Amino acid sequence: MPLEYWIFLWKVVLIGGVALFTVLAVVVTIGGALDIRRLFKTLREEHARATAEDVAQKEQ
Amino acid sequence: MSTPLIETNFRMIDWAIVIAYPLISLGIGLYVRKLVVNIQDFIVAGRGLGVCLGIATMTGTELGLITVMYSSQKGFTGGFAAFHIALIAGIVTFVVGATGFIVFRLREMGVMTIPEFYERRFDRKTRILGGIMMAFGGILNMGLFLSVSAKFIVGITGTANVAMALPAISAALTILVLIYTCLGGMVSVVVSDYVQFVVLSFALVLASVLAVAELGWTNIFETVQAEMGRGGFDPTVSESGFGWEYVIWMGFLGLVSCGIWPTSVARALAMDSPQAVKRQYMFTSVSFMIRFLIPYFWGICAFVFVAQHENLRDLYFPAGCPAPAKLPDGVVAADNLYAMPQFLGQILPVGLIGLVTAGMIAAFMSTHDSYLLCWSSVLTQDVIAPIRQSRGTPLSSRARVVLTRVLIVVIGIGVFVWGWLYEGRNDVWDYMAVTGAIYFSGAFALLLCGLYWRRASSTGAFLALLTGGTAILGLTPLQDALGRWLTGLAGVAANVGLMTPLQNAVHIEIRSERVGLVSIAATILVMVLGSLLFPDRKKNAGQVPDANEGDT
Repeated sequence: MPLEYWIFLWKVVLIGGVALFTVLAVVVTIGGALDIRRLFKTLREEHARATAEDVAQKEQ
Repeated sequence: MSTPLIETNFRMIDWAIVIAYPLISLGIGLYVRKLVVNIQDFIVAGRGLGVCLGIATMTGTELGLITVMYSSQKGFTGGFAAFHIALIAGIVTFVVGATGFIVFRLREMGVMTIPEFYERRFDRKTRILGGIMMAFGGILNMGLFLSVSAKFIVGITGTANVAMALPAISAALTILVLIYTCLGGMVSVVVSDYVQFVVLSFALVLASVLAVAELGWTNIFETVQAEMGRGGFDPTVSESGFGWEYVIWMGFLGLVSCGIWPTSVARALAMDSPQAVKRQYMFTSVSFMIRFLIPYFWGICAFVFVAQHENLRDLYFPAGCPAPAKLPDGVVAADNLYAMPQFLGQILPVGLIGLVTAGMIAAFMSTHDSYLLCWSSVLTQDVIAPIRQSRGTPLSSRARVVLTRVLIVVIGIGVFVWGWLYEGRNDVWDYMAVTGAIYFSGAFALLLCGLYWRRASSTGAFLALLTGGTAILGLTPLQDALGRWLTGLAGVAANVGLMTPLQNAVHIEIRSERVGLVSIAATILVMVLGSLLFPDRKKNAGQVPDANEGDT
């Protein structure tokens, strides 16, 4: 492949890659924050359930 | 240390940003600790990751400071030709996501680790050996993380002239990451990965734009062309330092790093459904390309910067540019790992340097904690727990969490020591490829045949895992030791007339890609032959049990 094609290919890969990544970064930043909120909610519920079970076992 | 290495724009405000970031992370770790109830929470975050968090954590793990450093080194030495590694990594990750190759079936089975799959598909001894090989290769693989990452901080902060700066920074990083990982396991790991993703994503893009603004878009390409010629762009020609063999090896590494490497697979196994795994991989393919691409570009920019500053050129290329394969006697070049951080330290404005450095420390932490957690949980879940189970003294869930935390500390200290002891000639990337191959060449054969070939047997699997260990021959210190041993043997052989063939074998220099490709071919061959010659006699041979069977 001629050298000019390689140079053109790497320019396209660099510009295209950075552009795609910028879009992905914005989407993941917002979506990830919502996911973390949901994960913490689930873990808090499990923690509360486990604590309640421990208390119940001690009472028995 | 030379004066050019301590020039930087790094100021007090940057130090404040750099110190504040880990403290915030530590606070998150302390908060999360209260929520971790059992081993499933600790290792796979209760399997509660959504797609966006999955993408962030997978990127956070695989885009470490070590990745940035070894990639910029490749960009510095290989120019734009190194871009082929990034492009291949992105394409292969996308294909794995689209097809679900390996990862979809693993997640469907509901296993927590790859060796757990070995036991369900083959037998317990394969799981234990697989766990040992994985932990051995993996711990060796992260052996240079600390020392190389510390070089970034020393380079960008301009503290190269401060006595003991490197070991002090390494020790501080080790302590920080050990405390953080021990606190919350996978939950704190994914949160730190997310924060890292946010900070680093924007820092990467912004720093790249500033690098282009500093050097000029056209100037970068013209300088690489003038200094490196065709080899600076075309990875298939030998003067690039790559060649077809290397390109094929990179294709395989692209597959391994997303579909087989345990820290990546751990993210797939923590997703809330097998379908989410496919989406995670397809979207993450962009990050998997960028994690190499931008650091390569930074390395290239650093090369251009060095090439156009006489004092730096003399420092990095004292025997001319591009550097000859072997420097003349008495000539010493500066470690090219410093080139990229030094370049960033001189072009980024005050404040942004602090942000980029904090992002890089975040990158270090998120990779280091993920790796520590991964290898310690493999040793707990796949080596110690199965042995204890076989002896009739199974470990409780809480005991496993404690044991995993103890192993995190032991491995962390071991890595700290190894980073300062190891003296190899491999590029950092090639060192990592070789050490990783100790595990993944065997694992590839087992996963491929175990998931897609009914006749794969436990004997074939066991032999293939052992064969994968031959990849360690790719390390230059081992090749040197082998050479010394052969030198001694040649002395003996000279007395009996066998001198010439042994003398030829004394100077061993096998390229890492060749060792890697040969060891992969060998493991697959051994797996197939072993399975055909020693088939399993069990009634359910070839069946993959579901997630509820045989879980330890």
